[in-house]
Amino acid sequence: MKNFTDLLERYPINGTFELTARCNLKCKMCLIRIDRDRMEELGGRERTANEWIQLARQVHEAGTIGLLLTGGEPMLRPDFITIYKEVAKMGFLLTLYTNATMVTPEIMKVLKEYPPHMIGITIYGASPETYENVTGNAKAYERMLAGVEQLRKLPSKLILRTTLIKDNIEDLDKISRWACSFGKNVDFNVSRIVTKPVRGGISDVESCRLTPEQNVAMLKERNMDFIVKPFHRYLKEHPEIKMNQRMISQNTYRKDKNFLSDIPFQIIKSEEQGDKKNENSTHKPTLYGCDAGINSYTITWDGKLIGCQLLGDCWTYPLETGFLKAWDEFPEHVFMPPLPAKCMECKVTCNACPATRLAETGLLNGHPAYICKEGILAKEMEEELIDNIKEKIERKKEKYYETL
Amino acid sequence: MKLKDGYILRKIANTDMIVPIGENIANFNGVISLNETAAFLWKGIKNGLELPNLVETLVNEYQVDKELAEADTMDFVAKLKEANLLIENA
Ligand code: SF4
Ligand code: SF4
Repeated sequence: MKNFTDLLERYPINGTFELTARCNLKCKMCLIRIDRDRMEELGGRERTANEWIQLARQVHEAGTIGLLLTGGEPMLRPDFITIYKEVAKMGFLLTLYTNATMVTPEIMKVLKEYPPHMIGITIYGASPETYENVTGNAKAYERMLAGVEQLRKLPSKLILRTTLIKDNIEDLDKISRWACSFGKNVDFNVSRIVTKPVRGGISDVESCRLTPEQNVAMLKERNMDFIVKPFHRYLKEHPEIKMNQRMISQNTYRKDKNFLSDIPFQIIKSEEQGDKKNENSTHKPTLYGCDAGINSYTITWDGKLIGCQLLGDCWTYPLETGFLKAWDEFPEHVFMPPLPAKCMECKVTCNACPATRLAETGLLNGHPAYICKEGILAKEMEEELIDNIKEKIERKKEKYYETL
Repeated sequence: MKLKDGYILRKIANTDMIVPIGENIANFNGVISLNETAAFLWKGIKNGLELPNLVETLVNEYQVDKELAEADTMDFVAKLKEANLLIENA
């Protein structure tokens, strides 16, 4: 347990309301989804519209500015409009996550009146067949297209997000071309790692996620960031070769036929490497090595306050005690055990954080073999890329001196 | 002088901010933060004060001389106009 007097100053700036963990789709890789049977097993109940609205008032009072309404699929709730309208009026920077397959005229009416500042829409494939394979519902494809058409009319910033698994990886080109056809106002994100479900989620992620090798191959083939970042880092460390930058960056990636250079293709990065840093630094400690429970929190479908949507190791009860008390008492419940020696010594920037460790191993400090392997392979790829770049630079230099 | 609807003044971690809601989100990508005086004036306008009273309350609240208060108020009102946040009475 931490010494709380040392804890970084906490302020509940960003909140997530998980309005339901149920969904109209059954995505194979969903981390969150449960059904009514599992809800019963877990012994919780979905909170009423009134409870969410009351809670929103409290977090508003407590100073939350960024509020994410998510699920499961939030639009699945018959009272979604009631909750949304009341919450949107209060004045948050509001984000809504949806699969866009349940956008009714009634929902559009209230979204037009109070558009969210941002809408994140998850895209599961580029055809009815892929939707069938990933979500179990072929018709959802057309509905998603129609939903996106509607949501695009709003002044909200749109982010199209996709999670790649074996069943939809072939669609990536098509999805990204489609997503990018909307121009600059629409961002497109691909999530980097698919972890096992959290908090009792019922999906069978392991059977469908990419192998670490496939994942890294995909990154290499498709991702600009991953190629360009190590290169720029290398350039930074070698100021003497700055003058060649333009020439080299062109040679490095423009030629790649798979390279989608005009696409705002971005990786959602884990902010972690958390307690590893904290343990050795003089900075004030956080709870999980990140923002969770420090400046952000999630309220789960059954009304518990947890650190982030992927956590669930401990909780308090904002609806029963009032939000502020639940927020204030939260740190007392967090116990972050030390990382295994293997990870403490490791230099790889992998995607492991307490939440992903917990999802993969059942322990906040477990060693997540899948994520570990992916991180190590990615690091190898990065080194290979850097070697490649170095070689190119050397060759350029040689040529340059020859011409002198 | 009236503020447009759909802008909500909020105090977040000791900072005053204006959060746009409704169709106003298209005009502002994010929040507008206000300093203490600006937030004070914002509340005054919200409560229906016109220019002379605004200046007066500012003088009273912050014990500044009238000229400075006037300049500050005019400055703030100009900024509001510029940002299209104000409906002026005919
Ligand atoms: S790469 Fe593996 S050993 Fe290194 S920190 Fe991540 S999980 Fe631990
Ligand atoms: S615990 Fe992990 S997933 Fe949760 S907020 Fe922290 S870094 Fe992100």
